[in-house]
Amino acid sequence: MLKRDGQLCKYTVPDFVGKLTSSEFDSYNEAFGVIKDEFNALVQVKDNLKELTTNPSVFAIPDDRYTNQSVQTQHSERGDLNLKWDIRSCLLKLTHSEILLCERMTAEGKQYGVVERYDKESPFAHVNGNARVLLVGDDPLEVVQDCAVNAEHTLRFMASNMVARAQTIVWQRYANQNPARVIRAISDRCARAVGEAHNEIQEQILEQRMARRMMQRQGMGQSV
Amino acid sequence: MNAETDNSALAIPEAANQLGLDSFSVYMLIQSDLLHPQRERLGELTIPQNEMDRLLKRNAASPQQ
Repeated sequence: MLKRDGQLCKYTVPDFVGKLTSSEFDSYNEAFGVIKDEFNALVQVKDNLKELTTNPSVFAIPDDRYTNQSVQTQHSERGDLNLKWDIRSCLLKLTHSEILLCERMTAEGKQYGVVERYDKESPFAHVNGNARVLLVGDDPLEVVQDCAVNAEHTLRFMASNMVARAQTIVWQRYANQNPARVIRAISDRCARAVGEAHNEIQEQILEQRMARRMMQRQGMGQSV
Repeated sequence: MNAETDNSALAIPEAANQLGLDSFSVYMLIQSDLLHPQRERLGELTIPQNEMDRLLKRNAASPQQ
């Protein structure tokens, strides 16, 4: 068995190919413990996102559970005030909010929006209102797909900051225990958690859009 | 336990807790430029307390209008 700094390398941790010594393992556990809740939340969002990416068209269909439900946003992307949106479906459910696909009629036709609806009792909602428009478009499927891509970017941003947070703990408290190796182990775990989502989402959305365009072209060809 | 940050800054999960939001939503607010973080010496983004104050007091009268 390998030894490092006089200690056996015998501890394995998820998604890291190497083995850690006892003191590296302690460092890993303390640092990962600090980001554990956030990591679990990230994995949960990633799982929900997989469904959204695999079958975006399902989410674009109005969901009966939201019939006659609406949400009011204070501002639109153009600065319009107090807009009422009819809820079409729920794209992502978080602990304190829901990300909803909504629609409303405008002078130019139907507009689709992704709206985050916050827990109305939250301090944030008390001050800023309980709903915020995240993006808008005129095609529900593309709006859903764009939402999935944006959420995936947010997950990567989140993972990167979680690693930075863990790094702070490791360097401040375990600077003599191979901090770089411990940080790599944590970084690999976080990268793995979001990495698969990244590839899947980008590829699936590209495939879906290409297939849709081909079908549209074929449809146009047949009608000529 | 909090990573040691600037005394007047909060780690993202703590900021999320104060706002009553998920961390994921706080990261989205940062990406939308509605919440402005600061970068700590070792790279972590944290939320300055004055930024939290701004977000929680801003538009205080709007929801009732």
